[in-house]
Amino acid sequence: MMQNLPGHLLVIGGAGYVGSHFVHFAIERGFQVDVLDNLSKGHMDAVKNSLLIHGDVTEPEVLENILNQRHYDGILHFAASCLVGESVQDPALYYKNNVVAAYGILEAMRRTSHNKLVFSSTCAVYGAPDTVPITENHPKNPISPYGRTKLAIEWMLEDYQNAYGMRSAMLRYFNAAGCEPGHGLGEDHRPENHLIPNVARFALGLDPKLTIYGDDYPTPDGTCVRDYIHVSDLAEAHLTALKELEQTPLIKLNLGVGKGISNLEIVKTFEMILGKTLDLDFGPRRPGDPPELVADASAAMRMLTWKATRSDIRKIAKEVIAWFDANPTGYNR
Amino acid sequence: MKILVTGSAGFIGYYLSKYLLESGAMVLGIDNFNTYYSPELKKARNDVLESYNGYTSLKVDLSDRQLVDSAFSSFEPAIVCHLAAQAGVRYSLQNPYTYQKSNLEAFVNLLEAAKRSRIKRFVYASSSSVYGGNTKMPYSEDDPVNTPISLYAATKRANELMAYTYTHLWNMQTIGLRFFTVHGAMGRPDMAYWSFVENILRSEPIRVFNYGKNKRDFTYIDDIIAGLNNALFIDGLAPYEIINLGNNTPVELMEFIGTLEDLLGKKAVMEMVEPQPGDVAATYADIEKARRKLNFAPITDLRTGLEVFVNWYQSNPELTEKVRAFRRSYAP
Repeated sequence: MMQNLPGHLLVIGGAGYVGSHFVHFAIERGFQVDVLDNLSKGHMDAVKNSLLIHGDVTEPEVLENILNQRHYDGILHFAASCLVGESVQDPALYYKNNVVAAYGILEAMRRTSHNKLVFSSTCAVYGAPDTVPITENHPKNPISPYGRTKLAIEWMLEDYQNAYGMRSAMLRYFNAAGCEPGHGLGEDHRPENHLIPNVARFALGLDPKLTIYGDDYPTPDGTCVRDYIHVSDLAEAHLTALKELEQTPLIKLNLGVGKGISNLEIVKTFEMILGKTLDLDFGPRRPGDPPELVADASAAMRMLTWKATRSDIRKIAKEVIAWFDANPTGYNR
Repeated sequence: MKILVTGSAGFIGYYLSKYLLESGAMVLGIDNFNTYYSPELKKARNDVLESYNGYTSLKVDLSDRQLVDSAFSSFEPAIVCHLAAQAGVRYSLQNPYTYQKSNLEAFVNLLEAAKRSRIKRFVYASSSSVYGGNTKMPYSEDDPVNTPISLYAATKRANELMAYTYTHLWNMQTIGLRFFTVHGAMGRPDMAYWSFVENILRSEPIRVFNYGKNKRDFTYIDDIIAGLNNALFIDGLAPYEIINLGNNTPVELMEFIGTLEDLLGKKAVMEMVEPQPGDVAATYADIEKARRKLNFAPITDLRTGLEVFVNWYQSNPELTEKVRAFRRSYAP
């Protein structure tokens, strides 16, 4: 560990949406951060004030060479293929980029005596929930290859803890949202399949139309209900989980706010902020979209003494508007 | 024709000697086989030259005046091509006295011996590094070069000035060639093309400054040798000449790495680093003078040249492994 620094972290996938916000957050708290990213989806411009190592974690020896060069106080693994629909079409890609990659990471860590990993899991491990809010003990019945690969990794992490003493935190995100436009960080997926940036882009005239998928769900207004948590709240939870790993060798936690917001409520939030009516289209339900995904977030609050404080939906919407106002084409590529 | 080539076990010296020997010249090659990089590589080059009848190899340090004098008097060269030097910009920050000895003392010894032997033409290697902090592109021979930013560059500029003095005082024709980055099979292990290939094959990170946006020029060895050979023999050169030997089509570092990835069939691991203080976005040579005076034409495209290097590298695993092991054990 370098003097005067709380630690040196390696962030895999640190040029991506959640990863880049974590990197920014960790650096602001005094950590030294190195990023490993293959830039297949991530953005070089999203990595600031840290070393960017452009490399592919699924290639043999890449990570091991890096871990042999420097010792890290913690490794955070954000890299993944994460499109549910694509995972149905091409599961091989998901098993390779998610499961095989995680196996490679764990093995490289084992061979280089690194034993603390924070892993980006997902509420997709639960599948279509029987009850909401969803607690960590809810049965795991993922319905997409994406969710299954994430659950497979969770099992792997548990087995590595039992057998080899590898410490890991599995953080099951609900819907990551918001950004830090003041620090040059935004949300820029290609293709963009997240509701909030799509509403923002439509509202600002950057996209010609906006489609809401499904208006006949068994929810109060017929549209899907999700639990939106700010990426900087996620980032804070990652740092506290990393610290908690010193006490608790295996951590499995939901990261959400605990409050559901419907698609139409998101649209209304933008309408109120911008003072205009958005003329949207409704499309059919997307296969695999459960009506309601809301976290029981109490376990994370208890264990990490952490609470989402940045996830007010109006705040999130304003940030995303500010980001697209300043960066109508997203990150430059 | 008898030609003295110093630095004959070095990259350019080896190719020049081979070219001269194949065209029927007698070559005395002098090299001190120093350990700046693997002597195994220098020996491998020298072994090839030893297979020619017209070749004599001498292991001599040019800072030894008496040995230099006796080499001149016993071989009686008509032309001298002085390519030996302590190379390396960064190395000169840590090892200044090596540069004093190999680049300054040796140069005076050679000029003196050449003067006494009434050498017709004294050709010597200068370096693009004499352009120092210049920002005007392309680098032209007419640009002021009074701001060397390393001791290496300062010694090379000093060589040009000393050569001027000897031309002025003793009517000795001196031709200084400012070499830019040269690449090819059996090239220089201290240069990026070599270490990049080494690291890519082993999935080890390579450092990419300014996010790979810097542009540099690369010239293939065969093109350089054609120009260098003309510098030894062509008519119409002034008594004192300084000529760039480089390329005027600079390539972005990312493109350079992408070409290597392509040829190796493997992705590089790159540490993307911000621009370094004093980094110049693009450096390349004005080669009009070389075209005009030496019929110089850098015709080999980067990919073709790198392909030759990569193929050589991959078909010589034993030698390249020794070079790597030497670098790691010795790390200058």
